[in-house]
Amino acid sequence: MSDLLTIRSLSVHYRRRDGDVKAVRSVSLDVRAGETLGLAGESGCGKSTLAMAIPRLLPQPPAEYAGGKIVFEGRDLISLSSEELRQIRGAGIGVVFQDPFSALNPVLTVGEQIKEAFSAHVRPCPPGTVEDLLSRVRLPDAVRIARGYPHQLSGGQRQRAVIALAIALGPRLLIADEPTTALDVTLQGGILDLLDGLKKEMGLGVLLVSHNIGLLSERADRLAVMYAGEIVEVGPAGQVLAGAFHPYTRGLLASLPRLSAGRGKLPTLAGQPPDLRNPPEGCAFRARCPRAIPACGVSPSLGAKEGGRSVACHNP
Amino acid sequence: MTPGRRDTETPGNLKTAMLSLENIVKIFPVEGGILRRKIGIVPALKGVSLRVPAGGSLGIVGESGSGKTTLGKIVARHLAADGGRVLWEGRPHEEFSRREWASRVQMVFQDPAASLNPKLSLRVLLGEAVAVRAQIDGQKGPRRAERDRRLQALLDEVGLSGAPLDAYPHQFSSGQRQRLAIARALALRPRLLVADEPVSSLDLSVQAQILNLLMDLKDRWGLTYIVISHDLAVVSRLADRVAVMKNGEVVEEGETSAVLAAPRHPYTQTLLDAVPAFLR
Ligand SMILES: Nc1ncnc2c1ncn2[C@@H]1O[C@H](COP(=O)(O)OP(=O)(O)OP(=O)(O)O)[C@@H](O)[C@H]1O
Ligand SMILES: Nc1ncnc2c1ncn2[C@@H]1O[C@H](COP(=O)(O)OP(=O)(O)O)[C@@H](O)[C@H]1O
Ligand code: SF4
Ligand SMILES: [Mg+2]
Ligand SMILES: [Mg+2]
Repeated sequence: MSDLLTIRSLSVHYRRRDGDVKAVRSVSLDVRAGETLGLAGESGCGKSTLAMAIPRLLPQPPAEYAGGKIVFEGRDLISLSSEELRQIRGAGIGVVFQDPFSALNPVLTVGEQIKEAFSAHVRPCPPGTVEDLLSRVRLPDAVRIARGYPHQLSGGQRQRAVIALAIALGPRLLIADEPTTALDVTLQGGILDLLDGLKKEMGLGVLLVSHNIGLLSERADRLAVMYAGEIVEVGPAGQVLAGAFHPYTRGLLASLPRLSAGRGKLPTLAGQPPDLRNPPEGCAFRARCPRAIPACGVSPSLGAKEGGRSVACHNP
Repeated sequence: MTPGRRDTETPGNLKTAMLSLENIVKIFPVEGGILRRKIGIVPALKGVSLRVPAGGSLGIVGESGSGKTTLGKIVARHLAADGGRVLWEGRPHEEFSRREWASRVQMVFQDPAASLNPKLSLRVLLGEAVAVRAQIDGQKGPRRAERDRRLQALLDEVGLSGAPLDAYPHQFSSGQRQRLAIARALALRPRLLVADEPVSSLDLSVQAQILNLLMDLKDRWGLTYIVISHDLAVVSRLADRVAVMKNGEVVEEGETSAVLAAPRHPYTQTLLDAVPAFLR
């Protein structure tokens, strides 16, 4: 199957006076057309850096590409000119952020912003496009919403407007970084249903970033688990959740409270993730790992297992 | 009668209930315009009755805006009810001074960063609470060396052994800050702890640590809990009884295992269905 997005050995650092933060460390990952790839991991592990590095939305400085490539539909995004990139953003890759406010211009109506997206790409915006887009993101009363300013919309409506903007130019890849984290729990399902629907209708590849494994369990076709800037495990979501290979994934899943388990202590992961200014030699999980062996002093690479799964571990 | 209440298993009779809420009503004004005139009202609680026996643990679940935090704040006396009665061992809360109430009921919030004054060192943050408790007990505040020893013991209790007392909250991770918030609540040696979404702002692996800490403290300190959460799995760990709230009302209340196994109210079923299959 041909990959829409292929990331190989990508490293991204933040330059800081007290030492560079190695936020993404030699990551390889693919997103295919028509699938949702869930990216899971705890805060600070590098999920947003990886997600925003793809469309090159990270501020440089402090961010810096320290190696690897990001191939989208056959072109390496790292080597593109800023004009070429601008064309790919929006028209090829749509982005949805956690905070819908930051993605919208407060002084333009929703309708004006959608039209502006077309003119920025020197494309005509045929009559009816705005209303059509707003109804595709299941915003009824499209005429009223199109005339509204961002602050006049509810949180859920605002995020739908952001999604309308992200899909306006017909991208093939949608990157959604914690798209529902800032929303009321009762609204989250609707937004995720919408992303699912658009994926099917438009054949989109979706990179869905979330710290919430429960959410990813229901929305991701495949799941990638990130720890300390590295991908430690990838595979079909159901299989990873039912029988994770990596000791970190296993520890994390075991610590989740479950309904049927009743009372009593939860198993926990001892210790804390390493400081990304100074990541340890060898496996980054070693200091916390119950299965560590001497070989773990050498960094394990992400190796293929059966069933489209892979894991970076010497002793899974 | 509250619909869905299981009358066969009354949650402790009036005598044994440590905390009783009778018909609590809370109405917030809705203000609008530049003059902030009252343009409407939000009935946040529409007559809530609940009881918590000493040593018990009551979970409160419900969607956003259903009134959970408002109820918790009324119990902790951070907010006054507009109707109904709050009773401590049968005595109306008005009979207790602010400090007497604070030494009985403490509240821990979702966002530990927002609930700890960033300008205060641990020594001041926790020391104040220890001094208040000493006053309530009719003692003089302990001297510095003795106070520091007590503060260290308190930090031991919450798994922050050896944290420097001259450190400030921002020097800690969010999980550690939640431990600090719990330590500060414990410094008053309360009997009832109201925990409002105590883990929902924390990372997954840290959530389990804080839930375990809450379980430990309950046993070690003989605490009684009210645990507010939108997450049924969290509540099922910590609470022996659960109340389900919707639109300012309790729609179902009962033993946690019974409610989860056979919910009586359709809304409870909706909440159950929202739990991802692999976490059931
Ligand atoms: N200070 C206030 N002024 C006006 N209305 C308020 C105030 N506090 C709460 N409300 C309203 O009261 C209702 C109940 O709010 P509350 O915060 O108790 O809900 P909750 O169940 O804790 O929700 P969440 O799960 O989002 O924390 C809501 O309609 C809310 O908007
Ligand atoms: N602008 C920045 N400057 C310096 N360090 C940063 C910046 N943004 C993120 N970091 C650091 O990079 C690491 C990864 O952060 P991030 O990608 O935001 O993680 P996640 O999205 O998984 O929470 C963290 O150590 C974070 O503190
Ligand atoms: S490589 Fe070694 S230390 Fe790392 S997770 Fe595997 S067993 Fe543990
Ligand atoms: Mg992030
Ligand atoms: Mg609340």
